Amino acid sequence: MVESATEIVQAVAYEVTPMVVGALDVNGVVERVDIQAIVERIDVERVIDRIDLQLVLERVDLNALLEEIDLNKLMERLDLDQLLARIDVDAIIERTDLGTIISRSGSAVMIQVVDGIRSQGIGVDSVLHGWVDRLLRRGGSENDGAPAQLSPSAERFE
Amino acid sequence: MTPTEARLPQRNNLYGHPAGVATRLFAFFVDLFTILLLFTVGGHVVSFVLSIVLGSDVHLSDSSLASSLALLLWAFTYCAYLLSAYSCTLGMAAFGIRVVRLDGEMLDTRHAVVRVLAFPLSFLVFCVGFVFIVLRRDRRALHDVIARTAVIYSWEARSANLAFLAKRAPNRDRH
Repeated sequence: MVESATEIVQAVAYEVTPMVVGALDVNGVVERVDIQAIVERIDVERVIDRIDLQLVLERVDLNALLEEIDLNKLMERLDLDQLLARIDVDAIIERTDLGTIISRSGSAVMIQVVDGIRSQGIGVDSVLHGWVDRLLRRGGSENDGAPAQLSPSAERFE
Repeated sequence: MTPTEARLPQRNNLYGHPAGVATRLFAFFVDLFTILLLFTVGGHVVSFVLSIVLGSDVHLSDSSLASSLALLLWAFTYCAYLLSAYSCTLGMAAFGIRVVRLDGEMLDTRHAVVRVLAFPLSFLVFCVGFVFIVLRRDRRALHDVIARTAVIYSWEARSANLAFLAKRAPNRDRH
């Protein structure tokens, strides 16, 4: 008996529901709903906390996504002039210690140049003294005649 | 390894080795240029100031004897002061060499003055004093022998150009 009653109710529902829905002004209902109040009641942080981002990211095929992006089209849409106009270059320069960077790179270049010149000098020394050593039939002259104390004491000049 | 050697960083370059003739010659030319440049500029400044003070044109170069004496005095002051204060001149600093006493200490005023005064002697008889640098194993010129000093490399080779020289250093483990 219960089953037959259920069937009757379902049959009635099937018949009545489309008529009720058709009669309803959905737009009017939506307009009357205070969506802002609903959104405010939602605890977004809690929702986000529940989402397992790692799992989401694992499911996303980034390569496929990137392949679908037409970068040329994207770049065409970008108004770079407007973007650059928004950037406060002076503020960026103030924040980056540009003076120090320039002076450091300048010092590095100077050290390289000075080292290069000194190396050339030592190279010529080596060749000249090598010739003389061979001429005088004596072994390598590097440090041979240097007083033993010179090298350790020279440490103080650094 | 002695405690002193243990404190020293391991060096695989020519630091502390006697400087060669070419490097010393380059340093000498830099010093010569510097001395003449500063003397010329200084001479013009002094002439200008004297002209203003005395109210008439003053040209120091008119008196060649006075100019020569002033140049010699300036050259002596330049070399002696820098050597006694820093153990090197500007040219030596540029080429990474220093003058030290035979005991390895920095030059004092006496050694610096004696070395500068003895320097012209190396020019005598076809610069034979400088030939000492090539002939002597310790690469000391005549004025170095007189002043009991030696010229050494005082910089660490950072360039790969010196790799072949570092390999040749016989007792590099000491440095």
